[in-house]
Amino acid sequence: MAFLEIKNISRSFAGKKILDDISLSVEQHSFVSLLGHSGCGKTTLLRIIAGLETSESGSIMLAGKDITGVPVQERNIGIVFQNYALFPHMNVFENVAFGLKLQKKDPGAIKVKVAEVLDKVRLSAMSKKNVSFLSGGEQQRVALARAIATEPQLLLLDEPLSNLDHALRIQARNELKRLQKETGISFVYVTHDQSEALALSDSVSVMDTGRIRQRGTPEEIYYQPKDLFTAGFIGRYNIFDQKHTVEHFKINIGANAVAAILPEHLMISAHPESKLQIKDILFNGPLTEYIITEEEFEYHAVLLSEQAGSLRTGMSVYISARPENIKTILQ
Amino acid sequence: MTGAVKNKTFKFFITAVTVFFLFGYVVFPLWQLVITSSSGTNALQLLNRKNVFTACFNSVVLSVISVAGSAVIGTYFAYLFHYKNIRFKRFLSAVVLLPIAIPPIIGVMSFLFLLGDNGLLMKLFDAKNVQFSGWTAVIILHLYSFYPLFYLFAGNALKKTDDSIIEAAQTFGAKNSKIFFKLILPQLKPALLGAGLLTFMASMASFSAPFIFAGSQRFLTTEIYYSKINGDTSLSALLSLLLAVISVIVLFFFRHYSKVAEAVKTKGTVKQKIFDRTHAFHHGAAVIAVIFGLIILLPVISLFTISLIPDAALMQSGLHYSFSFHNYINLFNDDFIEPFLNSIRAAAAAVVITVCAGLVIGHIICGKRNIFKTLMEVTASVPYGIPGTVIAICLILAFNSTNIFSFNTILVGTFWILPVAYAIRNLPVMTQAVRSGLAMVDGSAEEAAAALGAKPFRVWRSVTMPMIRAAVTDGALLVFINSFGEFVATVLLYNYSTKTMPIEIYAQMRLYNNSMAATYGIVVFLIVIILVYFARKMSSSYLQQKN
Repeated sequence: MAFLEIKNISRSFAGKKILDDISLSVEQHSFVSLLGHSGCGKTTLLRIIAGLETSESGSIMLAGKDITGVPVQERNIGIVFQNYALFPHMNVFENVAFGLKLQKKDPGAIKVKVAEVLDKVRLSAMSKKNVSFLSGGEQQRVALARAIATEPQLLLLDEPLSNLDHALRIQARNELKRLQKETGISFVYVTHDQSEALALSDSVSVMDTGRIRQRGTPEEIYYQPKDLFTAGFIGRYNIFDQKHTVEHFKINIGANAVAAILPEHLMISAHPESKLQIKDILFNGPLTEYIITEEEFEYHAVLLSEQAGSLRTGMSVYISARPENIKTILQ
Repeated sequence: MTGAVKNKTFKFFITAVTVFFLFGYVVFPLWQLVITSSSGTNALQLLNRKNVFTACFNSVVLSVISVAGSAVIGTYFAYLFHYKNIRFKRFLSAVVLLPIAIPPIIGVMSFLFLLGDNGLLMKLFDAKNVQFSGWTAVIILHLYSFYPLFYLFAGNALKKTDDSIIEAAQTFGAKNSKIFFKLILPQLKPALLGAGLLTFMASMASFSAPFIFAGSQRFLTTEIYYSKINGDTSLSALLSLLLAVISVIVLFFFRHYSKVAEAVKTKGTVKQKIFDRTHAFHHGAAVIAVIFGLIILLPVISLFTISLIPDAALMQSGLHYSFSFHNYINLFNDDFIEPFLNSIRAAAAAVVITVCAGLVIGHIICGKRNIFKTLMEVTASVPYGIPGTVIAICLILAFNSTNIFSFNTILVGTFWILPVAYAIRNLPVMTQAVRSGLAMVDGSAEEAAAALGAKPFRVWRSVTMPMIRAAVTDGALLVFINSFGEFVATVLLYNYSTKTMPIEIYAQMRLYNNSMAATYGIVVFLIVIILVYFARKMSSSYLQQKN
């Protein structure tokens, strides 16, 4: 049995099903992401695991014990909230020491432990500061330190990086990964950011309208999407119906399937007689994106900017792809 | 608090306490009032009496005039202080707010010593024919006491308006007066309605000013007092019920209208402020502000002056006084200390009761709505609409015999009836303070504490309570200030051994010990001002902490 075993969890609010028979397992020492649009139920699932919310059915097992009915206080699960939820009337040290004091550790040991985790999140110098005066990135690290100080069996993170600006987010992402490796705590990470989930996780669960659509390693869900939702949400796949697949790629996928091709696998070449046109070119530093229209359809192709060559807006082009890069998705 | 942080037994316990408190000290006394007013001699006959009608009519007319006059003065000064750059603005704007901190009985006394028969100003100008009494006196007192409400409300609303619309109007050639009436005033509507409600209610409930100055004019509050003193309990109960009903009707009427006004308010993000652009001082506005500030200060100055003059000298005609701090030294004898301590004790006890009750009720009624919570909330806010005189009558009717809510003693005539009365009057203040505190508490901080292993009570003690402490302390200070200067209910509930400072002040005035009364008045005034200062300081530091 896995370290965390969630079975058949369902939850409705005001008659609307938020979670629909969800099952999920998390191995020890692993980093698992729940990825989905806002409102897909990922935060509710996280709160049920934490014990802040109850489920209508199903069970949760942690380290071999059934914790379904156990109150939040006794689960020994750490949480990092989206808004950090720091105690505004306490300084950094007091925030981090809060859980340790509840565990009735002696003051000396608390001091040592707080110093140790503050060092881990590189906040040793801020120990006596009021949390209200810290920057967003520092507050986020205090929240993290507070949650890992009590050495929880499991750490739940609810979009912890969403309130940071872009550059800080990349940096914080690397710190998170390092921290997870160092502490060995299993992380369950909720996010709506595909690149975050792909970069951090050992395993990603793609959620949509209360269900898990697909679960796998980042490479699996990126390169082998099982359905249109995952294909569109994770890899921004181009979707072609049977007629267009035959026309452009000369292969037959059958009437009840579509072909999905990643933007970076779609090749383009200038051809004056083609009815496909480059509608727009978006230069994005290392990569350049081409938006190609065919009547009412629109495709995306991504090339390394250095290899972009002489393609210009308004040019007529052909598209092609290697057969191994054309995924068939049954509808 | 979220579901996870609550605990069933604890919840049941605080719900039981809340129901007991609200039923015993709000519903039950009001019910006694209804019973008594309908049990006496034919209620309809009483209502038909001309006196009752006159008192009702006078009270309403007085309230309407008070609202209109205060609105004009208060709004004008809010406008002046917001848009004009005036020298000594900070000091002047504090002076303009002063009357709000003066307990009514002290205000009344100050005016008596300034403009009354033996008043300083009268002597100064040797004006023997001018009588400061009746309608004029009561209205002036009301304007003095109530315009700061409009000043405060309108001032806060002006801070939220977007001044760039004024610049836009100026580009179309709009004149200042047009801008004020067509653009600024409409934006102030919700604030003015709010201030109007408070003024109307306070004016209906006003007792001290009519009591001292009205002479032969009848008002509802004074009629209630006199009928109670004359032993006609059922008439006083009936009049109380009438006053309560009028107040509650007005309360709901205004609430409805202010909701509508709130709904049409425009929402914006970027607010432009233009008033400081030129940095030039506006001398015309400054002159008006200084003169007005002096008028506001005059009663207090006269009170202080009188407190420095020995009583014997005061009775002489002319203005050849010798000043001394003799009266202030007299403060330290036993006769003074007793009422002083009584006031402190009663106010402190009221604070303890309201803080406990407010914390419990505030917790119960926050979070998801249901019928039970709404019922509790409405009950807890009822005392807000009920004048002090009526609350006193209710308490007399409810606690002149033993029952479980009085813990099997007769409360009337004891010291404890005073804090109970103050606590009931101030319950809405405290409940509101707790609620606004709880509204700012970040629910996920409580959840974070629970996830770290804190049990419900520990979450409350370590996280919730520290976060609402500032709001609760603010509310507690306000309760203390209100209770310390309370006269209206006290005058019906005290006895010789439990008399408080305001009662003693009134008694000294009745004995023509004017300078001693003035000295007491200054002491109460100073205590209240110091507390107000601390309350304001704390709320601003609280706001800084929030940012």
